[in-house]
Amino acid sequence: MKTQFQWFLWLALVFLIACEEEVELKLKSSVPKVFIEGFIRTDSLYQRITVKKTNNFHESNNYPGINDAIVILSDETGRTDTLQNIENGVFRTRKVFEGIPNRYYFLKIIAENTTYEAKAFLPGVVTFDTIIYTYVNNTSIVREPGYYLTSIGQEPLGLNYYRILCYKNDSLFDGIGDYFITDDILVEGNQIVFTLPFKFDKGDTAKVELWNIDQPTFYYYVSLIKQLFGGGPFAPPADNVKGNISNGALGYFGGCGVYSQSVIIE
Amino acid sequence: MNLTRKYIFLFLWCVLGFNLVYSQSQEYTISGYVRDSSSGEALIGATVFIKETQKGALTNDYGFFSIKVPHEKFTLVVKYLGYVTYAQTFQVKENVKVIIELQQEAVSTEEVVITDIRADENIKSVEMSVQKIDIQTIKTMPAFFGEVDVLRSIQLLPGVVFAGDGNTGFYVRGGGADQNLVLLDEAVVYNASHLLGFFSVFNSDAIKDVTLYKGGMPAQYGGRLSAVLDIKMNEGNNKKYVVKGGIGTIASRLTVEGPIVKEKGSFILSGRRTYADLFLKLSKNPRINQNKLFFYDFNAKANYEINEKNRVFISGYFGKDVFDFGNEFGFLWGNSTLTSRWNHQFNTKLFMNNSVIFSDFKYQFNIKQTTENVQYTSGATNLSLKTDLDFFWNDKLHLKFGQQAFYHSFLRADLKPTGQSNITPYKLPIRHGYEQALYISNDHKISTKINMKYGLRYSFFADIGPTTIYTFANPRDNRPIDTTVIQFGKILKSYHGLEPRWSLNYGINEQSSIKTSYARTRQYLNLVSNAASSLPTDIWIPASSEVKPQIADQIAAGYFRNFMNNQIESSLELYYKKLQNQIEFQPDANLFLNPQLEKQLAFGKGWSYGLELFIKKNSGKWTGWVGYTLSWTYRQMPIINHNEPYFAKNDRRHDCNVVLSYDYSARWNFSLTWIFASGNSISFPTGKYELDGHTILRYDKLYNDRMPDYHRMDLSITFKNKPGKKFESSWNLSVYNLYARKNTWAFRFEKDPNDESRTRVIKIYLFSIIPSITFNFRF
Repeated sequence: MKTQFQWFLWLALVFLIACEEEVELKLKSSVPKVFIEGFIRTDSLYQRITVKKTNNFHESNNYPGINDAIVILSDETGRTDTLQNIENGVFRTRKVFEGIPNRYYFLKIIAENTTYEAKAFLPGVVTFDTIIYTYVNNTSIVREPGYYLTSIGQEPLGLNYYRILCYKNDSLFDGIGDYFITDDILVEGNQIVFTLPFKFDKGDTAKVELWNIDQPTFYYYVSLIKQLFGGGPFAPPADNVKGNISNGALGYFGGCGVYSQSVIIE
Repeated sequence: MNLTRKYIFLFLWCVLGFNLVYSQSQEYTISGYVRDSSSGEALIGATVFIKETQKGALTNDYGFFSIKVPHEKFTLVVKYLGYVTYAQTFQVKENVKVIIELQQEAVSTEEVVITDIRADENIKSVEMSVQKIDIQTIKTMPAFFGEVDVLRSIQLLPGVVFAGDGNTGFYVRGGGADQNLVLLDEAVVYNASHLLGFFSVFNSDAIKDVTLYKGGMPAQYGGRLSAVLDIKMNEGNNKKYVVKGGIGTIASRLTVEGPIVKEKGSFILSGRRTYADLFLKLSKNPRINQNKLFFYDFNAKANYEINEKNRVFISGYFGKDVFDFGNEFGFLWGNSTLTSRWNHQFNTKLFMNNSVIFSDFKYQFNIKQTTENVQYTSGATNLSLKTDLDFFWNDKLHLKFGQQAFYHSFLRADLKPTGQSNITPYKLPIRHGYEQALYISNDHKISTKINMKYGLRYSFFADIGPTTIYTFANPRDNRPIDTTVIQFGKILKSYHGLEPRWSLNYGINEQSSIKTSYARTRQYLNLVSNAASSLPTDIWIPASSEVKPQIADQIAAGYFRNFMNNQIESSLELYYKKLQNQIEFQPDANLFLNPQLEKQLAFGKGWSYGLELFIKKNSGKWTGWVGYTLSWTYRQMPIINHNEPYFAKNDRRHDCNVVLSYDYSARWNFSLTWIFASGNSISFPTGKYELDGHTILRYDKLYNDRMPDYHRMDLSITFKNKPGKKFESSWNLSVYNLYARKNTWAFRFEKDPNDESRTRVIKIYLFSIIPSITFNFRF
């Protein structure tokens, strides 16, 4: 009786956990729309912009590029470059076009007889002092035993927004849960000691990249992450990721001041 | 079976009572209380009338009534569903006070011919769009994890749309989950759910009466647009000590009640706790066995009759939900309420109640990591003073009037380090509100066929100090450029308005009637949520210069018909509701720690109309009901679909419930419920693209799709053990989702991890079949 009861209780508990399965769901289709993605970076000599078209949900993930589009990048001082198509949907500046901080950049694209325009601000570079690594052993819900990085720096005064990226042996942690976006409301002007939630092993080269972004770009990432974490009744109601490109194009044109440091885990 | 014995207890108190100055005619008054004979509990809404004239009144929330009687002989009749009817002949020469005790009906195995029971109440009553569920009915419904749930039972009624698995927010006639006023002994319950909505905070052992108003709200209720769920706690058996409880597979509960002074005062204490996390401790995996997942709640009440004119009560609720993940992340929330009341009977006709009520809701999360230890708290509190007067003028007029004053506090966000941390403490200023309402309402029996209830409510709300106002350069900034401190009592913005209410009953004949009603309601507090389901992290936003109060107007009409000598009740109701100043979030709104939250809101309107069909069988071995609702609910917002009307997320076209209960014998009962709800309105993607290497969904028109239909059957079997001299017990087996339908809880659209070139749709479903066993006892 006792064992039967226990078995029964386990059965009851097992059914508590939510379950998942893949299903076929008919979804409406749509007229393809242009989507544009591009970030001006202070650490790039050449800038890249992507111009492609959307697909229906059940179609392939290879999005058709608009390879005959005219893509023009310029900045406040009048510097201009007409980008050239280097691979499917990807355009790169013909000449060196450095991301010079603290100025506005303008994008103009003519694709399939429609003009799309956007404007982005490239903030200055914010640095941090050091990265140190420590071995963490204790078992934890979120952390497996391994090496974890701590970055130390001084947060500058003023309204700032950041994105932090981590690379392991030149490979970016690029999962949905690896996004790290923050404003500075909680740490304004403080000495920051920040432990990053990415695990490394002995012999790895770890790189931390700090992006300084502006307020609209911060909110773009907020809406992007919200969509990526969507699904489930506790998710926000569905909506499109906020963009800043005219004429109904999807996507985003932004700027980031980039600073990075590497360390080898010995 | 002791079926035919009828016990009539009558305490006649001949007191030189007051004769009211204006009562010139040779009429006297009988006033007093109607109570349960075995426990002394006051019976709310019992019908007291004179057989010869068919005139009378209903007992109020404290079981009090007052009716005029002729000076010749008459028969006083008292009826209440589930109790043996009382009838006694009197002749009085002065005002008389009585206490009438009704005996509970014994369970019968034969078909009982119904002439005595107050089964025609749905025809005669002037109220419409109201559903009273007595707690005995709730206890025989199928349980979920062995727990019988008040909120779950409410969702089986027509007009109450099923909100979804694991969600005890409920939607009434197109209204949102925050538009329902949930009261426990007059105290506002901010969040009525435990365990992310799987259980409600109401322990059915502590509850006496549950009333749901879907429309035609009487003037004494206000503050929320759509519905009022008025829940009253038991007072406690004032004749003898009783211990009752249940032990189940997931949760257990215990109640102790008894007299303080026999028949003068009593108390009741009720507690409940789940222990799902004890099973987690059985796991060897340290990532699982260190988690805590439980809730508990506690109800307490005491009352004492100081003298025949005065009685005092004190009642409270305290509950908490705890989620703890290995001491690193913790999440807890809970409500607490405290109500203290004083009943005073001025004379045979005028009854008063004064209440001082405190209500609080708080949630908190804790992070404990080596370099980051923080605690975040948010919540809402109110202190209120209520005065309600009941004036039983004569058999044609019953006047109710009173006031309600509330002082609200809103703690939007409080973030502070609790140990090693980088962050500076951050606290948004506490906001305060003052809400005042006055109401007057009259139950007027105009003629033998026409009965009216009309009333007016006046409500006022002010956004007041003490608080601090920040000024920002841009709506998105989180750093203010200016700060102003507001003193206590200074009004920043106020709103007020009138809320007329009326309902009318036209009795066609003994079996049928037509009713109509109209109500305007105003709501000054808004619960804003950034999720499809209600969460404890939802934020309360009071009306202010940036947020106008919500307003609703509802008209309803219905035809009520009984069959087979009141054994079968039926009704058909139609309603139309218009909503103003409805709230939605801007799509990229950031709620967390946002000092400019109100700037992230958008406002629009809504409307809803529908039809509700209800058929109920009240007596005999087979009892139960069928309810069907056909409804449309629309919203219109400038930020959604370019201001085109769209189907609100709680729009469900069809909602059908079948509840069936079979008393096989005195010891066996079988109960079945079946729920069907057509899919609610939702937004599905119409395409996809890529950003930052991730698949991004594209939406063209929002709320243009439907979730799949939901249906489910639950079963409950109760077996009563042979009652001992003092000890009674029963076993209950409940099965949730009998045919194990995998009802979709949500969809997720993602890149296929096994095939990078395609995306797939994942269906998330919550429960397959769940059996549970509970052992209930009473001594």
